[in-house]
Amino acid sequence: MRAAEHQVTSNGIVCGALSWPLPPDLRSSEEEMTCPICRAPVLVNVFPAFAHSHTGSIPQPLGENTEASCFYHLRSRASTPCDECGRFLCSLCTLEIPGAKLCPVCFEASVRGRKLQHLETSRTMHDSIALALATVPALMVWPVFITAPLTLFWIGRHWNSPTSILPRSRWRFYFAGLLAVAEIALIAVVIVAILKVRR
Amino acid sequence: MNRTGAEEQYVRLTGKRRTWTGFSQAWLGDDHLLIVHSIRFVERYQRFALSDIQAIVVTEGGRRAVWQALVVLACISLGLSRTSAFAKGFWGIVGSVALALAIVDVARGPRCRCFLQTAVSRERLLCVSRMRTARSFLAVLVPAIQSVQGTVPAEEPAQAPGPAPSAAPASMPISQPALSIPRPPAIERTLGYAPEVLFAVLMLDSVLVFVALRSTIGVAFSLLPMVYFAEFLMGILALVQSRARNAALLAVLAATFLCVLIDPFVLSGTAVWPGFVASVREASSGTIFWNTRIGASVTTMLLAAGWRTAIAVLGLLVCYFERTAARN
Repeated sequence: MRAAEHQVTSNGIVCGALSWPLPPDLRSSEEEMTCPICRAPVLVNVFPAFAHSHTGSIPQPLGENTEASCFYHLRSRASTPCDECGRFLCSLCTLEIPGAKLCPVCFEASVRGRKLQHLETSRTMHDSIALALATVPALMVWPVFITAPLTLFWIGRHWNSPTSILPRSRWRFYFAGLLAVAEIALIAVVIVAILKVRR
Repeated sequence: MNRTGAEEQYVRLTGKRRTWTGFSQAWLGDDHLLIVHSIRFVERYQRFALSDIQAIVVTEGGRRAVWQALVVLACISLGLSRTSAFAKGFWGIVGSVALALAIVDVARGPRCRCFLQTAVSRERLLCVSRMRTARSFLAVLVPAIQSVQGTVPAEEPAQAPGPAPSAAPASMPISQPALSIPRPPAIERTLGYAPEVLFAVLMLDSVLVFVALRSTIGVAFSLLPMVYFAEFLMGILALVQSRARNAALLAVLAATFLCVLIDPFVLSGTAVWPGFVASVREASSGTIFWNTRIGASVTTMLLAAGWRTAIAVLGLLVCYFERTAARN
């Protein structure tokens, strides 16, 4: 069953309801049609990339001893040096990004070090964390003694940290800061009141 | 795509499709489609180069009208069959909310499932869940893709390409030359410290729980909710970040999380509960409420503190050995 499903999806474009292959006349239509299998209305947009086969490049074997070999594959001919570390790379190890050719290790290091901003796969929303720190523990009252100062620390620590790559305002930071200051003020008032009552 | 760090301008394609844990949204960049999956505190990004997109299939479906009507009818019948005013009011409110949700659902138009296909993947776009959204999404995206790829000739899609080398059916034998292709160098993943922090918290909590169970209701109610909250939060964080960790640590983390969930209901929590109830009863007769001592048995105290200590030591040892093995 699993092999059959795999074959279905690898044969081309499939219907979204049952993952069944769509007939060719339906694939080229631009208007809403009905899938002959599941009878569901379906809208299909096919692009020229569908007809192109994508195959990776296979590294060339090392011909003579005088030829430079890949740093990672000693039997493969080097085709380019890494723009970061300068190691010779075969076509398999070369990762082309706009403006540079990197080896996998430098690529990984660049992604981890957030040098390649457009390849970032995740970002932490420090403003949301600050807001959660200022609001959620307040429901249990006592944690506020720790979380209110922690919120202010978090805001100061991450004020300049990168947030979302999408447009995003800083209102969460401002609101969390205001709440934290209010919580600390309330704590101070309660402590002073208790001390006065005891005297 | 550039390497200068300059922020790229994105055009919003869909609204936020919200779930309990976050949202999903589609944006259009200069040369790629960006899908954002948010889990509140972290945004994850998926990029599809416009030149790589082979097809977009939108299938209408997933109607819920029957279920919605059944829920509304059930609420009405339950409301009518009850005699008390409270029950009538309760089922009336629930039915009204269900009816309002059904009306909103119908007003938003038919649901759909949208799939984006590339040579190596077939991704469901959760942010495109209505036909209306799908049409506006395609109205912007399709011209953008066509400006990169051009338009497809009328007869070309019929000639579906054969399976890509990586997508061969499982039943097909793998050809020998494919095995001789060298693999790219392996990349080492660094291990996070979330499990270690969890076990350190457990170590600290063992002392706090012991102190809480030996003292008064007031102290217990100050300490225990914090302890439970911290353990639960760190447990989830450690489990989420432990995908690349070894099986032994995963087992310890799973056992830890199970114990964290069970403890408030069978051990430390139940030890405090009788004292709490007794003090509430006594409070009506004028006794000071928060200063009532908890009558937890020594066995309970030792068990509540003991499992935390034991599992913390075990977990820290497993983490230590895992790191040592990874270093070698």
